[in-house]
This record gives sequence, structure tokens and C-alpha cells, in this order.
Amino acid sequence: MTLAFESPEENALHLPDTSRFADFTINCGGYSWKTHRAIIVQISGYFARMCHGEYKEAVNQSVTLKEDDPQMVARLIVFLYSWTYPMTGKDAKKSADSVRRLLASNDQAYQDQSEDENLLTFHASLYGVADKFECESLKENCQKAYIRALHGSFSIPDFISSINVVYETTPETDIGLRKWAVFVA
Amino acid sequence: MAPWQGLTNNDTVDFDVTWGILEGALREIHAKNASKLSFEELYRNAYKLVLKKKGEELYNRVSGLEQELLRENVRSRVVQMVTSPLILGASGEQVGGQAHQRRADGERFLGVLKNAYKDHDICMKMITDVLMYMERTYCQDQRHPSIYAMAMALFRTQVLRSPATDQSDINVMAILESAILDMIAMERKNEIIDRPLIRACICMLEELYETFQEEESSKLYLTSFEPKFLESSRIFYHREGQDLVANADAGTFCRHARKRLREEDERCQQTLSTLTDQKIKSVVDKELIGAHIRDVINMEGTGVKHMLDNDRLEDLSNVFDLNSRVDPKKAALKDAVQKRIVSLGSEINNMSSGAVVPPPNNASEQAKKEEGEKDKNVNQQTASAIKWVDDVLTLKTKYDRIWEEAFKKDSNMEKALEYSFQEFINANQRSSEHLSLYLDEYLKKGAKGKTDLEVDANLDKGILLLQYIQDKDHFENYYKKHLSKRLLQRKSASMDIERQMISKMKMKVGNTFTQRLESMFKDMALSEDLTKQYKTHVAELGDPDTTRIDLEASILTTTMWPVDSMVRRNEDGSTKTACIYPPVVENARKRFEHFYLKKHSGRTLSWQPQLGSADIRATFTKPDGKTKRHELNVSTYAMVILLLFNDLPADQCLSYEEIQARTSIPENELCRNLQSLAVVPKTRILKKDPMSKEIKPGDKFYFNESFTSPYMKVKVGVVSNAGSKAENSDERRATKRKADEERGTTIEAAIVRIMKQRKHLPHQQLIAEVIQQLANRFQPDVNMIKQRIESLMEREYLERGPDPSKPSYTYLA
Repeated sequence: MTLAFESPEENALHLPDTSRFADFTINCGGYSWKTHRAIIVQISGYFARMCHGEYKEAVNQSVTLKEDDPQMVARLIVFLYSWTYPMTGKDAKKSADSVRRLLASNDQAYQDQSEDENLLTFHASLYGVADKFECESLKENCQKAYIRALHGSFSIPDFISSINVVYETTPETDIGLRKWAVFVA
Repeated sequence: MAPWQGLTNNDTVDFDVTWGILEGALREIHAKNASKLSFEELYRNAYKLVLKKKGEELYNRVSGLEQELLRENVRSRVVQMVTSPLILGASGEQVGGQAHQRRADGERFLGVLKNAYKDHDICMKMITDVLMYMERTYCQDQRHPSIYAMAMALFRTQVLRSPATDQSDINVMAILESAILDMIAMERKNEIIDRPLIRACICMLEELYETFQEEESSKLYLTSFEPKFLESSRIFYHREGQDLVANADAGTFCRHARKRLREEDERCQQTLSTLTDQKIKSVVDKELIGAHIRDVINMEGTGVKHMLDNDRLEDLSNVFDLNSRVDPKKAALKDAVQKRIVSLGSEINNMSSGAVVPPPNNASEQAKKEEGEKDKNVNQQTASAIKWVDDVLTLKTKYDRIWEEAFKKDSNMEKALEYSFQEFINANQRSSEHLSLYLDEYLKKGAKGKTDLEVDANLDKGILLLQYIQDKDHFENYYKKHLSKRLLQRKSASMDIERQMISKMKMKVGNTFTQRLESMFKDMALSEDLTKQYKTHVAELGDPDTTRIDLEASILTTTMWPVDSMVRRNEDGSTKTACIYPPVVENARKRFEHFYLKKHSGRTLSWQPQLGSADIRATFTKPDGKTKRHELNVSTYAMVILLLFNDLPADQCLSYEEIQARTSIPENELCRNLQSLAVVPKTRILKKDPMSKEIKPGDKFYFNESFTSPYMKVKVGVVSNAGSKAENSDERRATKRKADEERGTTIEAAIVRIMKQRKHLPHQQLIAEVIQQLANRFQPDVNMIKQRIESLMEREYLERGPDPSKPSYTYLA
């Protein structure tokens, strides 16, 4: 297993794959990912509080996410490492690869969002996840992507289902997506 | 349906069930069992409640729970520790005994309270973590206080401000505060207390606020504890100040005050809070220092006067620091120091004037008799003048050191010292004279037993004193007088040093009077040159006559030298003095005068026989035929007298009257010189018949062939005319009169100068400007200025201004 990559960003992208120095396990939907505390606490308030606290998870150094969608969580984890939104940017392919690697150990097929039509729903869902896990920068990225998608072409069903997601997964005080949805609607 | 729905929660969430889970968890957290709980689960439950719009209710439930826990569990634990000594202490009743019991109770109580707070703090932070989603949603924009803030406010209301017992309304906070104040009071009596424990409780008070707003100024520490602390400290220091002043000495008081300041500083750093630092120091400043420092400074026997006299530098430094704290001008200290300096200075003044014996107003015979005694007194006066300067300089050195080391070179104190020195120096009418005599002593040959360096140092110190003297014109007159004697009698140790003195004076005081002094030096230099030229001239005349006399002349310009002190003016105002010179001398004199007048026609030379000296080679023939030669150095008059005996056969004498007739020497000079030649034991060149001490008409004088002396060169000093000495009161009066006249002239010159420039000036301003212009010379008397203005108006230099209600003057060209 080689460790030398071209840049720290590259390093970060690959880290979820390796178990070297991994000290925190995230279990979700049958998956079990070995992660590094030092990294996941950086931009996720949820993980920061969990790992620095005195609860069971801190003691056992692992958490089981009982009601979260592993597709979303995988993308969250990759974002925590690379700070890159999985959809856009020059590293999109690389993060897609990372996500694929995270999800490859299961039968569930990796769903490649770049070919999908339901992008609005995707962005909205990831926004909700980012909100729960207290990751502001991911939220911002989702919001931007959502807005960009709104400016492009989109399907109405996709739009409607994204609105559902927004209303279900964010509190009413959070208007980040609501205002855009309302605006367009 | 799109695959990205994720796991949205369509199932209804039962509030009570979910709350049940959370409530149980919160209790476990408070029971310190958090490690058994799952963060994920609790967080998720709260998250779901919030998404279902039950966030507000969740918040209220949490608030209610905390309130219950605090009231039931925490408060009861704390209140258990409240004992009756503590209650008594808090209700203001002084319990003298049981101090140790009270302290032990207090420490226990503080310990429990501190731990309760710490636990609450930790738990609430952990609870905030799991409930963070709700807090982010409902506590934004300060719509509700954060969970932590809410919980802390509850701690304040449910625990601190709750009654400590069932009977009274003294609350837990009051018990806490009085226990702490009690411990501080003990520490002020040098007992050991548990500082970290107190500090922890103080930190609690700093972290709690009166309201949710959590403004700095509403910290419980500032609103509740600090005022009580300051008040109790005020009472304490008030009492302590009074005790100390009554029982301790000044040095102890100051040391103790410093100690208390250090203590309070430490207390704020380690036990209480740095917020209180300035405030408690103000209390100490006001109650301990400010209220008593003046009394301490003026304390009998141990106050500043004692410290100054005994060079207690450290004590003085303490006093200085303490006084500075309460008064940047240090008025109390300044007053004491000034008083002492002026008092010591006046003593010095009195000591020197104590040597005066007022001369009696008798007839001249008595006067001659007493002159001998007077002279002795006057020499004593000279010595005491020198002592005066020494004493003043010693005093100055002492106080300079005190200023440097104890008063930290403070500029206020520097001015005060200057002022006091000026005050007593100028109160002494004779300070200028004293200073000039002092300098004269060190400028003459043979400054007794001192090295060159010491002499130089002393001269510098003397110049220092000059700056304090206000009447610098008086000083100039004395200095001129003494300088002329030094120059003419060749008594200066070194011309270089003399010149150095002049330039030092110029630097310190300006060159108004050094100008005239410098021209005296010029005269001496010119005279030297002239003498050389004369010698060459004489040599060229050929015919060296062995009896020719070597003449050294000093020609003095009348206006520059203090002629009036050297000569008695005749009735016509001229300075010619009568004297019949021996022919040899008369020839030499005529020849020189001729030589000089050829060079400088239009000038007049008036010879001054009462000054000057002569070197005579005298041969004494012993009875056994052996001859002894001596070189005698005598005054001019003495030379004239002695030469009379040249042509006299041995065994023949000259009477007093004959000598007088043949020399025309004035009576008192004649007596003095005859005394030195015939009466003074070591220089009896003449024999007197009768052998009495007084010179009377009818006395006869013989040449004393049997005169002996172990030295080849014999100096015959003239009684009481050698050197400079202090003036007697007649002379002093005369000097003052003359000085006043000169001052009048100087003032007039200044007035004219000012008016010429300004053309028109109001009265007050003119006076002010005159004073200012002359400040460097002397302090003019306002009346004198007024007189001079009147006089100038009479002589039509000035006239009165137009408006009679506003007095002013106009310059008349």
C-alpha cells in the first residue's frame, strides 16, 4: 500500500480508504467505516461534540448511525476529508471515486449522481444531512449547487420531491433552501 | 419516486415517549453516568422533536427539569452545610470567639458549594452538546437564552439566592459572602486561609450574571460581592489607620502601609479578582494613607524631620511613595522638607553671625586700641564666613543625596529644595560676601592642605551656590574687591584657575559682570608687558647703575577696579595720595612715569603708595664685626621708612614726628607700619624706645643691627592689611549704600531700554518687565523702580500716559 500521493489534498481524498491510524469507527446501514477523529471533528460540530465528550461513543470510539442514509453519510465523510463537494470542481471525479470505494463493500450499487436527473433532490437531501451533522461548509456547498441547478434545466417531479425533502429534513427556521424553493415555486 | 429521498421520518414522533428517554438521560448525566449513554441516540431524539416542531416544548421541559434538580438536590446539599456560626456571621453579629470553628464551617460550606457549581457547569455543557440541534434552532438571535445560560441563571435563583435556612431570609449567597469576608479578615491578621477554595467560589461569582443578558457589569461578583468587600475593607483600614497613628512610629506606619498595599495586590491576583485591584487600592489610599500621611510626616520624634536628620533613606523613600499615591504634588512631604531645610539653614546663618562683636562708637584712641581686637574678631568672621559656605554645601550634598535616592529625582521635590535653599541663603544679608571670601580662600596660594583636585571641586561647589544668590551684583562687588587684592598682591595660586573661575561663572550666570572682571586681568597682562618694555628701555639707556632699582608697575584702569575699596578719595575727589619718596625711588618713579606718558599721552597716573611692596637688601653688622645679609620684603610705606635709616649714623635715632614729617605717610598707616617693623617679634628691623606695643608720639626708633632671622628672605607683613577679610559693619553699610546707588542706575537703564522699544506701556507691565530683565542680577525693590520712574519723568525721559484711570507711560524721544 503506497502512501505517497501528490499533495495533501490527494492524501485527504484517499484517507478514508486506508485504515492506517484510523481511530474512530462509523457504522451506518451495514457499512463500517474506519475514520480519523482528528479529521472528522474539524468541520462537523456533531462529531466534535461526540468525540470530545464523555458519552459512550467517546469511550468506545465508535458510533452507530441508526437512522441515516449511508449514501448521504458516505458523501458527508468524503467531504469532511477533502472539503470538496462531490459534484463539482476538478476533484469531483476523485471524490466520486472515494465515495464509490466507501460504498463498494456492500451489495447496494453505488449510485452515481452525475448521471441522475434528480439532482435537486440530491442537493436538498445532502443539505439536510449536513444540517444534522452541523457542517456549515457542506450546507453552503449544497445550497450553491441547488441554486445552480435551479438556474439550469430541471424536472418538475424532481423539484417537487426536493421541496418535500427540504420541509421534512430542515427546521422552519432554516431558510437556506426554503427561500429559493418558494421563490421558484 | 426519486431515490434520494433518504430516510425521511414519516412516522409520528411521540413527544412524551421521546421526552421520557431524554429526561432519564439528563438525570443520568447529573448522576455522573454519562459514559453509559449514547450521544447518537439522545441527539437523534432531540433532533426529531425539533423537526416535528416540538423544539420549544423540549426547551421548556429541560428548563423545568433543571429547576427541579437544582432545588431538590443541589440546594439541599449546600444548605446542609450552613451552621449557626455561619448564620450569625452573615447576619452581622460579631462573634469574637469560635473563630476557628467558623473558619472550618466556612471552608466546608465553600467546598460543597464550589463542587456543586463545578458539577452543574460540566453537566450543562454536556447537555448542551446533545441538545445542540434544538439550541441552534431556537436560541438563535437571543430569542431564548442558550441552554447553558438558562441553567446558570437557574443556579443563581434556585441555589444562591435561595434562603439558607427555613427561619431567616438570609440567602445562600449572603452566607457565602460573609464567610469569604470573614476569612479575609483573618488573613489580614496573618492567619493562613485556603486561597484556592475562595478563588474557585469567586470565579463562580464572576461567571454568573444578574440577568440573561450577561453584560460585564452585571456579574454577580461586581453587583454583590465586590461592594461588600470594599465596604468591609474601608471599615477595617479606617480603624487600622487610627490605631497605627496612635501607637506606631512614622517609619513603622509607612512600612506597614506598603505591606498592606502589596497584600491587597496579591489578594486580587490570587484570591479575588483583578477587577478589584484599583478599587481596593483606592480604599487603602484613602483610609490608611490619605487620612493620616500628614500626621505621620509631622510625627514628633520619628517623622520626616527625624528621618532627614538621620539619613533614613529607606523610610523617606516609603514616605515619598505613599505621599505620591495620594497627592501627586506631595504637598505634605514638601512642606516638611522645606521647613527643615530653612530651619537648618537659619541655624547656619545664625552661627556665622554669632561671631560678630559690634564695634563700639568710641574716640579714636580707643578705636586704635580696639582695632587690634576688632581685627581679631574680623579674622574670626572670615573664618566663619568660610565655615558658612562649607556648612551650606554640606547641607546641599546631604539633601541632594536624599533627593536622588529617596525622592527618585522627582522634579517637584527638586524645585522645593531649590526654593528653600534660596530662601535661607538670601535671608542672610552677607551670603554674597561669605561666598566671595570662600572662593578667595581657595584661589589664594596654599589652600590649606588640599590637593588640586579637591580645590577644583570646592570651586565648582562654590559656583553652585552662586546660582542661589539673588543679589548677584553684591556678589560681584565683593568678588572684584577680593580679586583685586589677589592680583595686586600676587596671591593667586594660578592665573589659569582664576580665568577658569571667570568662565565657569560666565556659564552659570551670564557675562554681565564677568566683563568687568576680565578687564582686570587684561590690565595685569598689559602691565606685565609694559614692565618688560620698560626694562628693555632702561637697558638701552646704557650705564647700568648698581643702585638702580628694578621697578615693576601695575597700572589699573580706574573704572574697572574697585578703586573705592583700595583708596581713600581726597576732598576734591581725586585719588592722589601723599608720600615723600626717597630720592632713589623718586627718580625711578619719575623715569617710569615719563616713559609711560610718552606712550599714552593724555592719561594721568596716580601712584598708590598704600599698595605695593618692595624687596630690600639689608646688611646687618654684628658686634663681632660679622655681617649678615637679609632680603626684606616690605610694604611700600615700610620701605620709605626704612630708607630713612640708610643715611643715619648708628646710635642715632629718628623720632616718630621726624619720620612723619619726612615721609608724609598718613597717621594710621604710619602706626601700622612702624608696629610691624618695630613691635612684631620676628620682624624687629627697628628698635623702639620705649619698648611698648603702642606707637605714640615721642617714640624713638633705631636701626636694629642685631636683628636675626633663620631665613635669608624675611617677609614683613603689615599688621591687619594682608589679605581679604570680612567687612566690619561700617564697611558693610558703605558697601550696601554704594550697591543701592548702582542698582538705581541699572534700573534706570533698564526702564529706558524697555520704554524705547515699546514706546508705551501700562504701569504694571513696565514694573514686571523691569523685574524680569534684571532677574539674573538682583531682585529689584518695587519702590525703587517707582522712584526711578519718577526721576526719569522729571528729567523728561518719560511722561504719563493719557488715561489717568489706567496708569501708563510714554517714551519721550
